Amino acid sequence: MRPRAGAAGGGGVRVFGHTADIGLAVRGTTLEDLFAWAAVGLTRLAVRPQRRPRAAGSTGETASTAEAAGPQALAPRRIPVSVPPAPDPEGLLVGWLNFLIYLLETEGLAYSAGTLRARRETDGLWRLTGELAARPVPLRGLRTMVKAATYHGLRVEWLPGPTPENPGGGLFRARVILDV
Amino acid sequence: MGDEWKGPLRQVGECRWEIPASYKKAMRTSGLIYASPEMVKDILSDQAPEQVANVACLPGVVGLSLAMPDIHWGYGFPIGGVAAFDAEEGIISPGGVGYDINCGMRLLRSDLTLDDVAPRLNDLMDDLAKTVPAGVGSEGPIKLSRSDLADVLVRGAAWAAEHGYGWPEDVGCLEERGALAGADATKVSGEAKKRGLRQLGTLGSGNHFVEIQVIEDVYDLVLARAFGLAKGQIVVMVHSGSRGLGHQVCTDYLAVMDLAVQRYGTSLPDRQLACAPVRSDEGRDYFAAMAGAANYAWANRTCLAHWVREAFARRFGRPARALGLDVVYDVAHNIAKFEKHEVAGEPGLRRKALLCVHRKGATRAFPAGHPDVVEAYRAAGQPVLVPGNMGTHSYVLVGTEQALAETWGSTCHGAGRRLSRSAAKRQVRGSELRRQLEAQGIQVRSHSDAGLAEEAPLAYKDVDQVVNAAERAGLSRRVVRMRPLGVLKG
Repeated sequence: MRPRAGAAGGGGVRVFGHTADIGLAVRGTTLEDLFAWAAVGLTRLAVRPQRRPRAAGSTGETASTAEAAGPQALAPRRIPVSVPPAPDPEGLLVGWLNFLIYLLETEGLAYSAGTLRARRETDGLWRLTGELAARPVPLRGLRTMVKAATYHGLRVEWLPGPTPENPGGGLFRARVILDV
Repeated sequence: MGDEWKGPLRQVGECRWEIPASYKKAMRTSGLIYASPEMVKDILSDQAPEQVANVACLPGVVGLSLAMPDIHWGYGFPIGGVAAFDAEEGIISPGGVGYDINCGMRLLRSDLTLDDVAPRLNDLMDDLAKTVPAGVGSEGPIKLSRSDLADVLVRGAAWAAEHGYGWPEDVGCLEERGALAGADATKVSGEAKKRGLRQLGTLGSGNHFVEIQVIEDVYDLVLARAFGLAKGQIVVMVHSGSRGLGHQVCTDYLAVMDLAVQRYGTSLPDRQLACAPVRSDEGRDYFAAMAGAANYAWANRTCLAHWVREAFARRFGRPARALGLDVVYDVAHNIAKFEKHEVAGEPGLRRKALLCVHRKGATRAFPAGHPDVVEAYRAAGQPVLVPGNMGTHSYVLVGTEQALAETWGSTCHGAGRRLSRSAAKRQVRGSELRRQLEAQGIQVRSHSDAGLAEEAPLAYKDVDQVVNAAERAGLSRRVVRMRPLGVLKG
């Protein structure tokens, strides 16, 4: 999946088949960018794409906004991020995706964009804070109900730059398997 | 299905294959897979045997790391995996139960025959499709308050029966009488409760189904009679679990266990096996929440059976009681339980010990006379409900003494997948599959063609092989075999 013109460069997400279910291969120039792209991938998997009117000022959208799917008739809701602390960025990524799955199933809200901050705190645990914009989607129209993001084969790694995707620096790369 | 497994597998009996404890340094015991020789190639086609070996590495494992003949790859534990852990020194792991806590089977019998149902099957399936909430994002007509939900989590099937979604006598025919002791609603997160509030009495999606079947073969007339089953009789099988609530409980406690692993210094071969000592705060809390989700699942299947009764009553113009739509039995196949079993004690001696038995994609199969078998079947033995795929047979089996001695009283739970969902969709289109099944005389109702293709018969192992292997290994015995007539897919 490539970002549209004007979206943040370097990041992306690809869906791959897995023995039992399905996985996301994600990359991002920062951890936050990586998490945003993972959210885009999850939304693409779960929500049936619908045609939407061209948004004015779309060149100003973030990568995740540009790629997120779902009906656009209703205004997005702003939701504070609530993810349990984790011992490492891998655990935080799983927690983040599971938070989005919860929002989708209980509120019918699909990720649209986010202002995220991932950091390791003095207790040694990683925390994700911030806010996301989520758009209402009809639950009955979901493409698939993702049950959970799993720890199986979970990987987040930093590739020092320059990389082809980000000539100006390094890149985070992740793989996560989803139970569907 | 995936990368072929290259580890050591040694045949140690007609249907027994050992993974020696020497395979991995961290293994505390051997692995043992029950399968017939003709099934082994499929079993080695993915990394499920490696998962059997991984489970053998967990602290406090008692006996062997076991896998039933329907073994296939799962998250952490393999599907078909059974392992017991010492109730004092061992661990408990959400990965040993799975995301769909107490996913399980329920079977209803009836006084109807094929002649009664065949002329009305099409309309009956339409009625079922209208009455049973099913598919992605389905919500049911039952709106629970938070205090109702807390009751459901503790009281399980009894709550549903008392609120008019079942019959009082149903409860006496369910594993654990439809409520696992030790549930604590306060240990179930607000997020999990929110997911559960609107989903009670819904089938869900994936491999969940309601299936109308006819009993085609009777293998043991005495036991069939004890279970109220006879050749030519119409029965209804329900497959569902704890829905989003159970998924959220698993997700919540995997995160808790992920931290607990560091706290207790547990070394794991796979992060999805995250666990905590059974007697730790984390372990106790998980069990209490898991039991709550299990009870939600028993209430859910009770409500689903109620919708089935309503659909039959409407179509046949008679009350469900007059149609004899009684519960035969209800089994969990994703659960952890505390059970007393005989274990090796002093040299040459056996002793009873309390164990935390994890069954993930495996069914309890206790023999006649076991005190935990419900009274109605104590003299006969516990019924075991094994679905095939939507194009083949399903079975009712009975538990055995040998299962109790070898596998903590466990046997297979179904056919077991052999193709991933995406691989199945690549091989058959949903619309084409629907036509194929209808040509076989099987009516299909599904909310999604893609979902139908994911569950295509070609995606599953041969259930006859699975059941035969379990019988040859002495883990269960066949009682009756059913043929599908109509399938409502989740």
